[in-house]
Amino acid sequence: MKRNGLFTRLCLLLCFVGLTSVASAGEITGIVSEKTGAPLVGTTIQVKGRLNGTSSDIEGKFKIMANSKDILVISMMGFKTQEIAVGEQKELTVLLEESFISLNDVVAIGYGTESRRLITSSITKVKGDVLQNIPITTMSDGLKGKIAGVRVTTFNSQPGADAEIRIRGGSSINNSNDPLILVDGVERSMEGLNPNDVQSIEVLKDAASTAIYGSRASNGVVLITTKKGIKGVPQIIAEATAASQEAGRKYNFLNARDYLSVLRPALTNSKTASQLSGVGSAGTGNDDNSLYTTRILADGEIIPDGWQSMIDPIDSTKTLIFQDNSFQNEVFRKAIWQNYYLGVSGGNDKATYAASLGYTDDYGVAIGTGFSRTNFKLNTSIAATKKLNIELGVDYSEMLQDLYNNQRDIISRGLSCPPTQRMYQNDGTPTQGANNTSPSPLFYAYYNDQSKKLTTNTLTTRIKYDILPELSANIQGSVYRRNYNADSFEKANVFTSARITSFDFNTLERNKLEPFLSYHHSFNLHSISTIGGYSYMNTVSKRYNAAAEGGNSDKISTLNGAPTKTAASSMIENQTLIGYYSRVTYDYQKKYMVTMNFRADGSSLFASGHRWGFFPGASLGWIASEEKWMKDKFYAISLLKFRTSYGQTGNNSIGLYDALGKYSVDYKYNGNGGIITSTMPNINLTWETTNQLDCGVDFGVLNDRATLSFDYFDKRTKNLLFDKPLPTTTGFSTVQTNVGEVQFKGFDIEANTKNIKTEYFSWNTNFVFSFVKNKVLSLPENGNDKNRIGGYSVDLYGHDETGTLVKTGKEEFGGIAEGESLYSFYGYKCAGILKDQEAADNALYDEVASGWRKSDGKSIKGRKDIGDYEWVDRNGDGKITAQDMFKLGSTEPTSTGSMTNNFKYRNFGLNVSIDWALGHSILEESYSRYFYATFAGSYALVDGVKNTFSETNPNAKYARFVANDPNYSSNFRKSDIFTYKGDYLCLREVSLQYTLMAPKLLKDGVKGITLILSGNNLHFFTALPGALSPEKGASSTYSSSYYCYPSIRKFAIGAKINF
Amino acid sequence: MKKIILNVFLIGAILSQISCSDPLDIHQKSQVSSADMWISEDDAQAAAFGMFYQFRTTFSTNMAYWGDFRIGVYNTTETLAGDILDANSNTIDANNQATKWDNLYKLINMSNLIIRHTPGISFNKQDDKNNVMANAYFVRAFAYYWVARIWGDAPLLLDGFESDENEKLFPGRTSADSLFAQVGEDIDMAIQLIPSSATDKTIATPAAVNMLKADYYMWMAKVRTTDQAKKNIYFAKAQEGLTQVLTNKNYVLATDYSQIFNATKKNATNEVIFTIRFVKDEFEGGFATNFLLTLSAVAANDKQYIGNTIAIGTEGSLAQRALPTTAYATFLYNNTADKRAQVTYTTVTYSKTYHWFGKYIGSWVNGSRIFDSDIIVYRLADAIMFQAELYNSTGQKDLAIGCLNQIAKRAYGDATFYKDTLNMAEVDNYIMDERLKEFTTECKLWWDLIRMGMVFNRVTTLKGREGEKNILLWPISYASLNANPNLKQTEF
Repeated sequence: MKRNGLFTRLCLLLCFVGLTSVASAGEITGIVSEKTGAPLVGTTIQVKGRLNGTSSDIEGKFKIMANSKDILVISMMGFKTQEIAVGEQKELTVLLEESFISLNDVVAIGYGTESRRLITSSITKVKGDVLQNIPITTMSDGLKGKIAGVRVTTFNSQPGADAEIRIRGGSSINNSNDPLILVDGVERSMEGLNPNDVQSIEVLKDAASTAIYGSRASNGVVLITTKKGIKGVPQIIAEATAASQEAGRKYNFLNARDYLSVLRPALTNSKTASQLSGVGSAGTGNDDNSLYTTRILADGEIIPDGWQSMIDPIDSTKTLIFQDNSFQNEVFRKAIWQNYYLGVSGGNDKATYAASLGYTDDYGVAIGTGFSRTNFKLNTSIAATKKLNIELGVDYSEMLQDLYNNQRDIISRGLSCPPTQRMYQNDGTPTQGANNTSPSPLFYAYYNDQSKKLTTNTLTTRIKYDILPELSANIQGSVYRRNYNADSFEKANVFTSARITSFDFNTLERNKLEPFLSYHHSFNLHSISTIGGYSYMNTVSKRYNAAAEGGNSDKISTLNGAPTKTAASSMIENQTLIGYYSRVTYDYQKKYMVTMNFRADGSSLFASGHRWGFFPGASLGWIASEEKWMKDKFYAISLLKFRTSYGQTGNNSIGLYDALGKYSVDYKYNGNGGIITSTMPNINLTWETTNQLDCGVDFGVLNDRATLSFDYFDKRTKNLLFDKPLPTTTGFSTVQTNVGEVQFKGFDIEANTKNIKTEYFSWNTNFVFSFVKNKVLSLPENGNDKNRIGGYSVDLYGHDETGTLVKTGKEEFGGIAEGESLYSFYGYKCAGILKDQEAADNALYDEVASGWRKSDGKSIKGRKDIGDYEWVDRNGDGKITAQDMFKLGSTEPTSTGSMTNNFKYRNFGLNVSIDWALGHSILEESYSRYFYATFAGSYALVDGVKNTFSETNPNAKYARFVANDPNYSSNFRKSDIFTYKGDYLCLREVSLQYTLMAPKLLKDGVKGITLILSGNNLHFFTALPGALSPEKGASSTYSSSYYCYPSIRKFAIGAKINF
Repeated sequence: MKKIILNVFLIGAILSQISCSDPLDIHQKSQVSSADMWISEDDAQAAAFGMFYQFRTTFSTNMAYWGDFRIGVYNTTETLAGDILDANSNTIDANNQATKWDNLYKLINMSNLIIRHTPGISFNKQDDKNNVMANAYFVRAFAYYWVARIWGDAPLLLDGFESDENEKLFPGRTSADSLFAQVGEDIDMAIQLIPSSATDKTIATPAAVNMLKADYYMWMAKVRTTDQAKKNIYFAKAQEGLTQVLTNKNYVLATDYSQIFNATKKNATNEVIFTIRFVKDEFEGGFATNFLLTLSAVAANDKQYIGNTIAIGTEGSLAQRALPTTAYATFLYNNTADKRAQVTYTTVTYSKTYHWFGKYIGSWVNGSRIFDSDIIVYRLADAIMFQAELYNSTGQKDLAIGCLNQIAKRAYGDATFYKDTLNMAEVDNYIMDERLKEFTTECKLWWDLIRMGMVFNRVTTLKGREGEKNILLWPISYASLNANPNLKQTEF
């Protein structure tokens, strides 16, 4: 057997014994092809019960040594495995039948697997393939839109950040709506996983499938299975991809010329006209040492190199000269992204293995950001004896991150650097920007060293012992370690020369032990399986932090060089979860199925007496298409399955002290340790419980050439863990309580069709659609209308017969209330722009209007000027106050979906995937700030400023433009003016693959070379202007918790070699 | 089958019982749960310091809004300082940040919990226990004294919240009279309990409590009653407090006015009686962040003077949001001999002129502004001025002039600056003038103007507004109204 060097070395590297030849009767040759006759490359051919095996070459041919009593097993992903008795045959022709759709797969369910066909609950499986051939860093990025009922949203486009996952809208009001994620049985996030290592993703959506995870299952469960070895010759995959990436969307900022043309005339009409000749972005008092470049061309002076000039828009006798710098183009760069992967898998009857190395490097589009990840992974399974099987999994990942601590300050505020700002000082260092929380991003990147390192380490062991053929005992144990290490250093700069340095070290240690018994027995036409077990999980998190300052050199960035120690702290938190669980599955004739399961969970988070919860679930299924009458009459229907399930799950994601209350000890007064009330206890606090009904149909025609799954669900969560707002007089802002009931209902549709299937050309379509709505059903009686909690309480006014203003009643809105939906946000509604003096004089008194008018130079609180917005007076009191708000939108979409088309023509493959979301809104406050020239008039402006009200533009969209607007708090309050629908359609992924078939290259064991051209996040069709992604709804994009990293478009080229 | 499940349960049950206690009972090491609190002496002591931490949080910024910004002498050059502007022009709405009483009531809750739990804890020394209790009463009195003056009628809560099952969860407004009565009771308790050994000026001392007593009874006498008999009682009580302070030899006027506010030499003078302590890295900031220039306001040629003679603020990154009006600046400088003017309102001129309120600017370290100036709540000059006011109000004009001259001596170097020939009304006027100069930006002047009965003729933005209902009060914040349906907004 000839092998190439790389292969041999890899085998040695991984300490796995290579294949040994077996002396045998003779050589068998054969050819493997599809039914269409196309040869199948890379099919595994193995002699059953022995170690040797081979795979088919480019023409589908293979050679193997076997004797007449042997049975050959021919297998390939996507095809039904065939077994052929050798007998006297020397040449074999094997036709493999495509297993059209994954319905016959095995699907991972909690603590076991089940045939997909017999599943009675709502579980969607996607194979790791969906994560292939696209330039993604994290696996969540590759799942967008691909799973019915699962919404994957990027809320932070920072390199390496994981997306947010919502299954059927979540289940909670203000506790976590994150699903439980288990990677090979270990509770962790997707953080650190290499998408290339993923074999399959199962999403458990209904209560019958998730109840086995009890108190943590209300938001659904995602089971991620990593690649395991398959018996056969080593399969080696080597892959390299490089991508060019850039900001997919940008703000349309004014260039320097337009900026000065707009801002200088505006300054003449502003309260701060002195800035025209002062130091500032549009002032002419700048010199060579100023932050800004704008000045007047002196007599006889030559315009400096690279500078521009224009006639001063307010004085045509003068010429302005200035630089035109686009900070946005400097901050959002074109950056390289690269990914390398090497995977080896294989095995024999005794042992299988899958090992991989991976490296991903993302240079980061925004200056000063970046991410790299190194992965090592090994999964082995050893059949120690016929009865004893041992599995061991090792997973290590190391991530290095450069990121902004506060994206709002560096991106949203950093982009406010106006185009006339100098980018660099004469000595080549970047200029600073307006202040230290609005620095120029170039300045920030230059003076800040932030390195964050995250390592995750997982070890899993599973020992399975077959007590009887039907009964096995299992013990699975896992340790998960997550270490986070952050060093931060700020070099001496114009804002501070303290050289602040800090160090954070956090660890999370999670240990789990789960013994369980599983039993499976089939007799006659009955089949029964059951499991039952115990689970113990302990999580300890430790956090250390230290900071110092006062070092005398930028050369030393660690604490030892900084004499003034300013912080030192450590924190330890500990929690335990104990569970008992069981499941019984029964089917008759593989036609009628029933499953019941339960879990009892106890959590240390709750006070004694409220710790244990019981979570049952049950489901029924009927495969109608297996009935004889169906088969006879509707032979085209290959599958018709009805299923329904009902069950109860929990959500225990409360804080460590929410039940027991907390006095915080982290306070000092004059050097003395102090204790302060921090969390109001609620010892009656208990689980939030979710009851979910699911009704589903699976349908397939023409041998499953077209399939459709439909699920309707109705989730009702009661005893909602809720941060109940408290009156400010209590000394607490909220208390964690169990309240009311909320409903999430909707449906998921998933359809697959093989539109065209010929010898050389195929076209498949995958369509996913999800719809979810939520509603608050009940809240505790509290005397308010609809038992509203939080929100606004408004006195309504009207005029009586005599025309005097009188109170006519009370109205409440906002917060949460019975019959209303969640996730709304509120602000003011525009009633138009005040177009003339009369309108301005008669405008409603506005509580936050400073009332400055150019005409009289006075600020009279509450009054308006021509060109200001008029707002709608909700409560009719004739004034605009904080009581005049309306619902502006919702932060969560109601429907999401995707369509993926997959084309194959000879050696070419093309995947095109689009997805969309509808129903959410975004209040683009960052964008609105590029309208009001704050920071003493030195703030960048967007081109929307050209469409602001003036005498010559009376029908403008936006209110008048005033430099450093004294009325900003009225005109730029949170309103519908800057609220946009977030509805979008995204051209998410396009990938073109070409499989190289040149026989010369394919010698020496190379089975195939695939070249890939692909793109990711190519374009958003949306009404939202500017750079932000429309994926995530927001009540303010200027909030410090909002991530304003732009969405990233990537174009990639890659190659994949199979050995 | 059943047996198997039972066995599993058995295994589980055994595993869960391996340790003698419930494995779900976890004692956290890093924070104190409610069950672990109020057990030892240390808990009460730490709660007292926690209470002062909260005291500092409460007053660090808002003290200027409540005690100063309404006197109408501020110019603000920044549009962003809307809240200051509205306070200054006395057009305050319920959006104003200083309409929020959240921190005051959190402070009250802390003091309530200490008053409730400390008696049940055993201490090694009775004095220590008394000290904790005295501090709690002192803080509660101080907090309600401010609440009653800021909002008038307001919730009166004395029990402390430890769960949401409390009948006073949604309190209505109690009359200001009841609030003031409670303040008086709490002051008495604090005076009874405070050990004579207490000398830490950052928390309660006998002198601090007596200053509060004097302050409170002066207010009661001059603002809360028109009944002369009551006035006399209140003046007598105020005199009790003042006598305790003025006869205490530990407190003397500083010779150098500027040293009182020196952040790097905290309490170097014996003038300070009660101060809110600010410490670098422990707690910095406060209202003074509104006073300083930004880096960009300094001309390129003058940058060399930054930190040396020109004070700029970097931390908090606020632009200079509050400056005196020209009239007030002129007033502060109208006597060239006045040594206070340059400390209060510092002016330097290089290629242009820079000025800023200079008392609470903290220190300049490694190119950073550290706002670590203490906020001085009471100092001896305040006691002397109260004494002057009390004498003048009780017909002892000459004694009042004597007091006034103690202040004048330091300010102008002239111990007979004010002559005996002045009449009572003139003395009152000069007391107010001296207060306006002596206590600039010390967050007292608004109360002084009300107490002296001069608020409507001296505050330009209040002239002619005597008839406006509750004009001297603050509205309740929208947030508080929204969270509690039993609260009614003050009528204006």
